[in-house]
Amino acid sequence: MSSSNEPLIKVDIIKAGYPNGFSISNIKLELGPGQLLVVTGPSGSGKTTLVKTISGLLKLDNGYIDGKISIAGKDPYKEDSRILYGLIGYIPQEPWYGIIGYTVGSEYCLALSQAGVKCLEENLDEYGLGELLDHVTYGLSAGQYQRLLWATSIDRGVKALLIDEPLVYIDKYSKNKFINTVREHLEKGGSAIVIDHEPLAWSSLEPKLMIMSRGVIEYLGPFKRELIPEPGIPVKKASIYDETILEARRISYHYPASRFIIRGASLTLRRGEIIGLTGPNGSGKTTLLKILAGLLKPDKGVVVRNGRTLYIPEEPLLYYTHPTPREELENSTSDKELVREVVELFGIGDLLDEPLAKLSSGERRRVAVASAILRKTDVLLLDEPSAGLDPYSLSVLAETLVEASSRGVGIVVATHDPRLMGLFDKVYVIDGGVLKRVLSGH
Amino acid sequence: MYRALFLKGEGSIRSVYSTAKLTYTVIIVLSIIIGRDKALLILLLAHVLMGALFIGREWASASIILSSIPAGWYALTAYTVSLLGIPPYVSLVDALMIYARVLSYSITILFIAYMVSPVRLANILIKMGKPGSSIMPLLTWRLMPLGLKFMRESMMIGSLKGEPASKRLAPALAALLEAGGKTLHANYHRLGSPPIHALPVRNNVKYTVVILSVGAAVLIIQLVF
Repeated sequence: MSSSNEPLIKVDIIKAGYPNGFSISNIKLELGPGQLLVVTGPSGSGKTTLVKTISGLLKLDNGYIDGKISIAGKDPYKEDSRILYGLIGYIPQEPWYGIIGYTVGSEYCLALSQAGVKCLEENLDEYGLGELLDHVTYGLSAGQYQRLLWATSIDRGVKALLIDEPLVYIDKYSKNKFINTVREHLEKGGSAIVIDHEPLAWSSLEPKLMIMSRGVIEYLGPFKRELIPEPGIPVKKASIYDETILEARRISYHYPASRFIIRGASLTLRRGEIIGLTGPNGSGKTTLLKILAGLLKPDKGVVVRNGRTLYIPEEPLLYYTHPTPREELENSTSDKELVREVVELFGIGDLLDEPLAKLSSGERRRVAVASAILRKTDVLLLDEPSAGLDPYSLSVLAETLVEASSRGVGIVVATHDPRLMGLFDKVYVIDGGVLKRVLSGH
Repeated sequence: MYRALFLKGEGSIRSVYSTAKLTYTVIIVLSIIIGRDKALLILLLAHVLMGALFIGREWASASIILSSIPAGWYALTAYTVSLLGIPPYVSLVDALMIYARVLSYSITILFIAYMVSPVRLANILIKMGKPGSSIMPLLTWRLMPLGLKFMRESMMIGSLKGEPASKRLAPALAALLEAGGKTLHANYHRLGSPPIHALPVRNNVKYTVVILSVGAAVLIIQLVF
């Protein structure tokens, strides 16, 4: 992308962070119209703190900044909220949290009205949302949430886009579409900062690359493929067991007031196998997991479970019953020795007494898998377990799953993440309600 | 609860003119005050039918199930207490009438609550000079289904873990608090910028005529028959 004129985003941070807590330092960068910066680095490297500092969000968390930020000439720590809202578009990793309106139309018009812009609902047609005007925002797909945030950002005329892990929850089609909309924003003279654990996805836009580590810049310059770390996903050996522990036979399901989301799906899981379940947004992956878990009753067909089943949802906090990993694990079994063994094996000893609120998503999932093993689970169903995980955290989680499978646990993982595909014994795709086995993972 | 209140958006009976909604509500309240059983049964039928036709069959079934909880409770306790010899005497037919009355009240309340449009509420607040508060109805209707979903998932996971339901409230609340925090972070500048313009609404004449006709019929039955 071309660059010209005055910088839209100017950052000169000597130090910024939280009192007696994490900080980032010595960060200097400028982005002109049409420029994109992709920020990557391991979890805890300061990417989120950087975005919070640039957007002015740091003050919400009682943070401090020694330095100067400018967005289109405005200081995010001094300027009026309405002006900042009109200038900065923030798209969070979980895009549904960026929505306030309860219908698509009310969200669009409310957002524009808050920036002082009068809305024209017909414009939503351009974003493929015209049909959904009176549709409740609860229940939109991740791709639709992103398009709605995109529509409100572009139509209120934002200059700077701050985007956090935008590709995590969306399918391949929506990913390409999203990258193209960022391209259009840049071509119109806007600038953007994208935080992503998969920076390669953005290479076609010729971005600048920033790699962060421990709160400082490790690299800032032209995009270089060779600098990007790859996750070391372990190669899973084929299962040594021959016992079928879960079998779905020709199951169909529909939600109230909607058509069948799953039609005649069949699936077999053997002990020690890991199955990948993928498909476009809204295709019914989560629904199928819930049916397999016995949380939803299929309209047609049967699910046969030979053993104990557990489900870890996309929001892993919902799995827990106790406030710390130690209490959760110790309440999962009466065998103290087994707890010690699993804690050591999963490398979660340092997390035991941390409040759950302070654990990252990846850490929460690892502890939940450990708890499932302690509960002598036979079938484990995981919904989007890799969301927001850096390559290191992802490989640790993958090792955890391989370890669980080697102990005879059968696992089904619903995911969009191509990085996980090598982990699976079988991969199923669900699309248009139909479940198909496409290939073997290894 | 989700199906009874949050299932659909601004269409169907939420698109009835606000004045017509107000008029209908006044008629219904009057009917309930007059309190003739005949009218209550007509209200019950009218609301179940209108709900099934205009909102969806799932609304009607969810509302009947939800309303049956207080209705069943009142009917059962009245009958049981009477059986224990505590006056007044309640026969089985009386108990059934109690059930029908409470069911009718409850479904009526759900129907009127469903008619409330958060967008129109927001507009009223903007017009009243309280634009900062106008976000609240929209945010409430946005977050309530999320809270109910967390609660449901938490209960489901509890059943898989073999834990009592009483232990599953805390995880759902923790997840909801975290969701609130994330919503605040994602909308920080936005929440400090009250809307300037009223939000567009679409009024529907067909539903307005139906609502007013049902209201008029109920009133006539109450006063004449």
